Amino acid sequence: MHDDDVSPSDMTHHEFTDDDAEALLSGATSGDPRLGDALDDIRSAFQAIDPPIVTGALTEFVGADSVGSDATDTTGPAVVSLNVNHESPRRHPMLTSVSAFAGTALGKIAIGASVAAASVGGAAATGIIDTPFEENSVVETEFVEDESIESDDSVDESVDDSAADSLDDDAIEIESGLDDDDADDDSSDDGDDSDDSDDSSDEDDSDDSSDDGDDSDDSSDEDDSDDGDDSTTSTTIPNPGGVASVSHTVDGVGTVAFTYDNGIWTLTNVSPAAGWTVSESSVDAEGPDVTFEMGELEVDVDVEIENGQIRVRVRTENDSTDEETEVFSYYAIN
Amino acid sequence: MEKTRNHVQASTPDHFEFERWLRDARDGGSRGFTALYEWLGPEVKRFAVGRGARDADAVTNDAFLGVFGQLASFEGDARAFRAWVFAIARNRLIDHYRAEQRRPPVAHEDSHGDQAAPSAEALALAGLGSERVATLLASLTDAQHEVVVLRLAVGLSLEETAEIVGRPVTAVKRLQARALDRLRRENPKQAVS
Repeated sequence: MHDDDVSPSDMTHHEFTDDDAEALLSGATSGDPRLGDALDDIRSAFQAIDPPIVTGALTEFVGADSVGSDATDTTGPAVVSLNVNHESPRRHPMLTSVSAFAGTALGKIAIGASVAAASVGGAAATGIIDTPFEENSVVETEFVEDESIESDDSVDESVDDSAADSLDDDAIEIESGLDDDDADDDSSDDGDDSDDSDDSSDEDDSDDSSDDGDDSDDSSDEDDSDDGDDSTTSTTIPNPGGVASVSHTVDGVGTVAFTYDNGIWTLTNVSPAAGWTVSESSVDAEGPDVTFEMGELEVDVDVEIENGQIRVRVRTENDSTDEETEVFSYYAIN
Repeated sequence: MEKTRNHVQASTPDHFEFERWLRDARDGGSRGFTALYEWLGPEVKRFAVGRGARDADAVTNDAFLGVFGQLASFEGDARAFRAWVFAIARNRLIDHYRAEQRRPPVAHEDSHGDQAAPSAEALALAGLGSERVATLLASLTDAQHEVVVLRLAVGLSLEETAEIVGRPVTAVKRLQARALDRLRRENPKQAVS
């Protein structure tokens, strides 16, 4: 057991259940007499903290030239005032060489070019990031535009090389944050206090984020007798076993909620955001498929099993620009 | 209740707004950088203050230099971006503490469970204006403290918090419950004033 998780005095009985605490911290419950105004006061104390002061190399990125200008320009991001301090009186010695590089005009160009290359020409997924919004989920984005690929790899490498040491730390930490062992961990969490030691130690023992070595893949190709037509709301496939309930939101577009129960898909809710319509909503043997539309924008949410997990693919198409992106999220089946 | 100056918290951009910001920043446009910073900079600073950073502005600046320097490697949506930024900020916080030859304020993989949360004095020095709140937070264990700061000070969801601290959601829920028990004991009956 890790003492940072549990102190001896915490191991008696809990006044607050896990769900009580979550309701209070999420704001679902407005208050609790046992705490008085403590939570509100904590929130207020932090809300009162001044915005950060922009100093040193960062001013190159969020410099005064952009501050408060062109507020009516609807083509670019909204910009509001920042605390910019070009004198950098509190600049910290930890500003690294990477930071210095990134802060230069060349750094900005190199970074911008490399990312543009990745977003335009990259045919394969180049990274995996956990989604913070659903337990056990992983997001992977694939840019699928078929534009010509220029000689951008060298730019990428130059950025990466220059990024060097301190960026490496971040990469390591980010990847460690991708560990997707929650399903395993959760099974040990339902008991008493001693479970927390498991939780803590479990942080350390995994590296792979997306492939958990689940053998129960290949589900989508199973031929079954229940193909289902577009009007059905559920269907069955043989594998894998387990259950999951997912509500997947595409920000500003809509939400698709569905369940998976031992091969049975059920589309439980489709809610378009304001301005969007649902042009297709169906469930077949492979999973739900929902399409949202608004003008020349089309967002397709396609759900299926992949490597023993639920994969949600969000494909965004913009007919006016022929731009197309795909974002993948993965949810564990428990 | 304390008198506070409440700063408006930037809302999460929608799918297309975020993509526009990101695209602009990747193209080297300061408007994109500015929008991303404006959105998450205050949250990162509150996290740094809450974790007792001596120079929360410097931590925030360094975190965003790291973020902007690595935009090429980022893939995902706005929520994933937020988690990514906080993962970087958390590392920057560790870097700052190492530079100051203090113990890291975040319970990371090589911690051995003997850490206490930042003291009330450290929180006050970091810029937390309420002595009472600093005292309450200092009563928590370090892991509880980090979770409470991410939930209450930053406003992250349970799932986002679990993601950033690298713990299962169920473990974070348990930490939260214990944290509230601690706060209850430190704050018996009456409201904090």
